[in-house]
Amino acid sequence: VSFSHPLALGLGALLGPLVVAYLVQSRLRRRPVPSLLILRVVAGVEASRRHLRRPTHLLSLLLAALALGAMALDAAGPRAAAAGPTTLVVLLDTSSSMAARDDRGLRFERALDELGRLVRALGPEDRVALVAAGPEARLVVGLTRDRERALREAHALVPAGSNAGLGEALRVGAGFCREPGAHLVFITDGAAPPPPVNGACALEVDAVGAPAANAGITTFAARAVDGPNLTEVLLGVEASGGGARKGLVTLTVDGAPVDAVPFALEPGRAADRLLRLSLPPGEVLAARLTVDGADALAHDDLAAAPLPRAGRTRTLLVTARPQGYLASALALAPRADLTVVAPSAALPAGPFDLAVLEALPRGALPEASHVAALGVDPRRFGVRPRALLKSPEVIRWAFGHPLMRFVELDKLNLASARLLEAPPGAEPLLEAPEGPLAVLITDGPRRTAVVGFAVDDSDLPLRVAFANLVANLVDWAAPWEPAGRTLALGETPSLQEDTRLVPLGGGGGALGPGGVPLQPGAFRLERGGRVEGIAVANLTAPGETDLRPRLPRDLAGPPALRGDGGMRLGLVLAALALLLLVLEQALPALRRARARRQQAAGAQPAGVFGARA
Amino acid sequence: MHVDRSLLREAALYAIAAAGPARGVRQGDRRSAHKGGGLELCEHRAYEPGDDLRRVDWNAWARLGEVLTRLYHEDRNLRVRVVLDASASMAFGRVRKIDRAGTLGAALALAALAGGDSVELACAGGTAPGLLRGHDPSALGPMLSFLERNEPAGLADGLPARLAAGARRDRVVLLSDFLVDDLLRERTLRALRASARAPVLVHVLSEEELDPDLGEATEARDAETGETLWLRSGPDARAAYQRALHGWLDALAARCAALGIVYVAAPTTADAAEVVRGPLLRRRVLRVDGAGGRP
Repeated sequence: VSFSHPLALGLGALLGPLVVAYLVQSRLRRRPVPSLLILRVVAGVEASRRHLRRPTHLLSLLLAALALGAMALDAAGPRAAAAGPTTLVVLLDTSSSMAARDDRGLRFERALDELGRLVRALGPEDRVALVAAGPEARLVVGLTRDRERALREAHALVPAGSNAGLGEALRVGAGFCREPGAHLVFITDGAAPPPPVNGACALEVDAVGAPAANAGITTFAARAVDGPNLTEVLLGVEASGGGARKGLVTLTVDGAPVDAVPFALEPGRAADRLLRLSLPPGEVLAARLTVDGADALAHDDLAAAPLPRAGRTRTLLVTARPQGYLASALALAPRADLTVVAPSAALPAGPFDLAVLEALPRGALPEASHVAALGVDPRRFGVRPRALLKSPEVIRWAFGHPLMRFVELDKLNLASARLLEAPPGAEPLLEAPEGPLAVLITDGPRRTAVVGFAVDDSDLPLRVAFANLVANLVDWAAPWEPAGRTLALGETPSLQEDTRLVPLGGGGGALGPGGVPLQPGAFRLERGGRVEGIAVANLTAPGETDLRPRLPRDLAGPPALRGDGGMRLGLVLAALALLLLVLEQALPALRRARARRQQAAGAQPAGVFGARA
Repeated sequence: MHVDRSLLREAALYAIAAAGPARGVRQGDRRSAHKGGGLELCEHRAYEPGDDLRRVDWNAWARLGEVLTRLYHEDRNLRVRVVLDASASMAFGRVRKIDRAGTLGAALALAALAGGDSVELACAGGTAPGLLRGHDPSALGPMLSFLERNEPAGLADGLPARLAAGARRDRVVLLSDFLVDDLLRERTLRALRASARAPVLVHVLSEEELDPDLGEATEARDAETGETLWLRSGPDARAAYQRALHGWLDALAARCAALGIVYVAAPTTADAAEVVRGPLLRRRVLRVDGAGGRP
């Protein structure tokens, strides 16, 4: 047997003072008495000359000696000499849940302490390798005998991101199993149970996590919906541990609050909200969760989402009146790139975002994602025409539809309009008492608004509603540009060589070495000093928000390598020795007290003196 | 010291029992040896010039033809002295001896004051030795304050002087543990005997003396003299101690009896009220007020 720290055996030398402390006569037992007048008859000269007393508490002495021996042996770190050098492969969980502060403190600090304990227990010939298991697997330190370097590198790690790289990290770790004396230890908080390892060595799990109450944003996304600057925001919040709490998610754009969403949080239950907000395109929407109670992890309290930006609408107008109201209005629309063609002319090459048909072109219909057919034959669009109504009255319109926002059609004067028969799935936009005058047909990606009258057959161009309707048409068909890049928290972003991330500020977004986002937030993508776009990094991982240790029972024990069994046995023995010592001291005192009570309760409470009384 | 005031309410029901004619100088309700202007006729004597004519017994003159003057028993009060030993040894006991002595002393003083007797309350030793006099129950408050200011300290060698000071009293009660050497014990007992016609020793002892802890060898230090002594432990030592204690108590009781001192044992392990209702009444130190009549 050899020892990692042979000097620690010197702790056994404390056994001597311990034995002496048990045997030496307590010369400090002095007490004042009222008078020595009568006590002189029990004066004991011999007692004062004895330095050692007869050992009376041998059992507690024995237990204390055993405890001291066990602790000294454990501190010395005995290892079987024949076992050869050890190869310690440590997988260190660097997911965001390790950044939580639970009932026992910061999890990652405890993990580093555990790592230090493991590494320092190694002998001079032993080797160690360190693999970080976060959103990606990373071999931090290859097999080395330089234990201090391994510890330095481990202390430079910052927990951030999901644990998606755990499987890969286990594969990397298992690759070392061929090394002699290989031990594969996974230091984790136990928030995610590791998958089985396909290797020659078993995985020993060192779980450092303690229960913690937490709440976090688990879903956050924004997308454009039909309509001017209308954004649909999906917001999900989840809580784990603790009791029912209240949370509030504050949504801000460029630091200015735009909405606050309250949540009633119950452990283990996710709460989702779908919000429709009018938000400025191209900005970043930030969400911050505040909870009235314990919240162990800060990473999941922040999230950011880029807001989509509308592009220019390529518009084709087929009309016989190129100077008409509609052509003029579309030409004035700021975000429309307008092409006007006569019905008899050949159609330009598409595709278009919006085709407005005041007349049907010769040949095929233009290729466009959105079509507005105004007063043309509806049969070309699969809509059967019905009767032609003279001076119909518009009694209803879909004012909630993006096409009809701010379009007031009350008392609209129509010379004539064709009644349409809405096909199945069509959405009526305008209705007379007799039936629909305009319908919206969705055919795959193509949307077609079929109107049973021409604009010029009404007084619509004379109304403010007309300008709104044209603007709605352009926005309705506008293509939405990609909102921005989404980066994985804690993962090295794949950027072009001369592109770098710059935090946008606002409380979130922090970068680590190598430009790795370590805190949720928004970033600018800069290339050569020019802003190329926006990127966001969020945690939004329910597995990280739920901080409850969920290791299977057979994996929850401490690794055998650390060998702190002797320390534990020593502590147990020391506790037993202490208990025994207390009993040994207390029992005689109790006996004396009982005798006194009996004497006090007896017929002669104070002996002969009581009899006199 | 701490005076247990719950005993005082009961103490007001008692009075100090007199051992003979009162010798006080104040008017009281106890028969004295003096003859003069009382209520109860004592005897006649021949008229002398200067006698009060109101005391001339005219019936006797008419019957016998002699001018006689009526003499009456004069009622005086008792002169009581209560002396507390406040030496350092009195500070011991789960119920401290000094507290018990103070409580009993205050009860005796109140019983005397309530009966119209003159009381001198004295502390020998302690942090505030001294003496306080009172003649009516209003003096009780200052006396309690006087007692509660005092804490045990010093030696008990001032007891004889404190007992001998002043004129001889009707009743002197000494409350002490009497843990003094033989010479001082004899001097104190003699001084007590000389100080009153009916002296009383209330012997206050605690469990520290009655059953000391001899479970382990101990270096004991005398609280008054500072002398240290190693003590043996075990059953033999306890038995030897008990024998010595019995002998010491027997000797003290015998000496008190020889000197005519009433000896009352007052262990702190017993209730103070039991001492009042028991030995103090039994040994006629106290009497129930109104029930015992005049001595």
